[in-house]
Amino acid sequence: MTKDPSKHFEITNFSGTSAIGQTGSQNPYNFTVGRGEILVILGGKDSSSLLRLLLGLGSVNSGDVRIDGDSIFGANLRTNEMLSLRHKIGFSFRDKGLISNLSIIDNVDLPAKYHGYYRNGANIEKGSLAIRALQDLDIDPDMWNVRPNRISNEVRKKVLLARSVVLSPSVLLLDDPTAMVASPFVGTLLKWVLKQKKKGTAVLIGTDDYPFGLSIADWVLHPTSGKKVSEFSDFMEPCWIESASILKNRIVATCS
Amino acid sequence: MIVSFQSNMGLSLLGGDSQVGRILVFVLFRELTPIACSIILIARSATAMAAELATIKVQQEIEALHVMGISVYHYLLAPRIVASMISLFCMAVIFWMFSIAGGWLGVNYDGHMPIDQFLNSIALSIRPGDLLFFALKALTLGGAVAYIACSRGLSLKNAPFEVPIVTNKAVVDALTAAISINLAFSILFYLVHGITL
Repeated sequence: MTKDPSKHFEITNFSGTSAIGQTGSQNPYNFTVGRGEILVILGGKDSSSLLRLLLGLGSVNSGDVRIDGDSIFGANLRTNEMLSLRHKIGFSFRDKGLISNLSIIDNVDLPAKYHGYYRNGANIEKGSLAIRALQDLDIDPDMWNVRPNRISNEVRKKVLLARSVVLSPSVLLLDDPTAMVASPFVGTLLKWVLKQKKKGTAVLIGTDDYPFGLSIADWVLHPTSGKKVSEFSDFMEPCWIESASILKNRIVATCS
Repeated sequence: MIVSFQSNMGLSLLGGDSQVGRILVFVLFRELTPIACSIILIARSATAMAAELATIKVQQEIEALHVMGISVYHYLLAPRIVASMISLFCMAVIFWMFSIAGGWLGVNYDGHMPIDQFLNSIALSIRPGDLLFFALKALTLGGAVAYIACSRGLSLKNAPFEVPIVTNKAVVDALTAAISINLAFSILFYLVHGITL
């Protein structure tokens, strides 16, 4: 069966309750994200809650989440089939979530090691996946063997982002990627997100940073209807759209 | 040492000095060694495990493991449980060896019993069933203490102020479980072997 790349990640009638709060109870979420598309969910609490629920961090009240037609909540997650589905989703936490007794490189490498990506016969050099992910975000090699309690918020954020793509997921969920980082990093982040897009990854970004979100979005989730739209002017302040447009032009200029 | 000293004092009045080894086996080997080692493990490691896992949960590391498809049981719980089983068993063996040495010193405080005679009286009192139950009891206690400490640590609901609360709960629950398991094993032992001296 040929899988429709425009419906790679499909959310239908979705609502639930996470540790942060309820989401989708009034208007359940219904949208699809195709391969190589970027969908931005504006609004901190709701977007964080939705992203967490999509990963099963909380209780799903209704609906389903599918990757290439396969439901990620439809069966027992312990089975190999469901685990392989979970490998297709990468998630970057807002600020926490690094394993405190592992170095940065071990943190990034942990999913690859645990899921046997370096086993004999895999033809992947040990640690290479983590090194590539760290290099993509310009993390200084001197920091690789440092534990998370000795790094700045910005490096922490970069490590969280690097870990989210180490297994080359086809769906990437980023929770507030610009939170707690200095402005110069935003440029690096934009390029990095666009790189993931080029690889064909479906990217969902939950953010409060309107200029960032609008500049990079192919689609935005409408804050009241919960449907994805590509035209933002009817519900966004003109100043945000203008800032986003300036940022977008700069990205185009830098990347070209 | 105190157990053997006190027993020896009482038994010497009755002319039963040679029974000290048997009393050491009954009191120390069967009952006191596993429970004393459990208390040491609870004080030394169960508190640390509960506090560590509770802190890990606050830092969203558990959620991170879940997101990465890593089993919390395989990655965090199983190694701690196995390590506790092994360490409690080893600690119990060492504790028992020191008990024998201390016991011999206690017996010789105001009397004289040659070491070979003392060891012989102990060896004659230990049955194969004692060794089996000793090992099973130590391993079960180690596993139970670690499991309770870990599960109480993970029962935290994401607020840092709960860390001392769950740690305290882990100690109380682990102690209760250790005493209950010790009692259950003793009852089972005497049901299997009968109450014979």
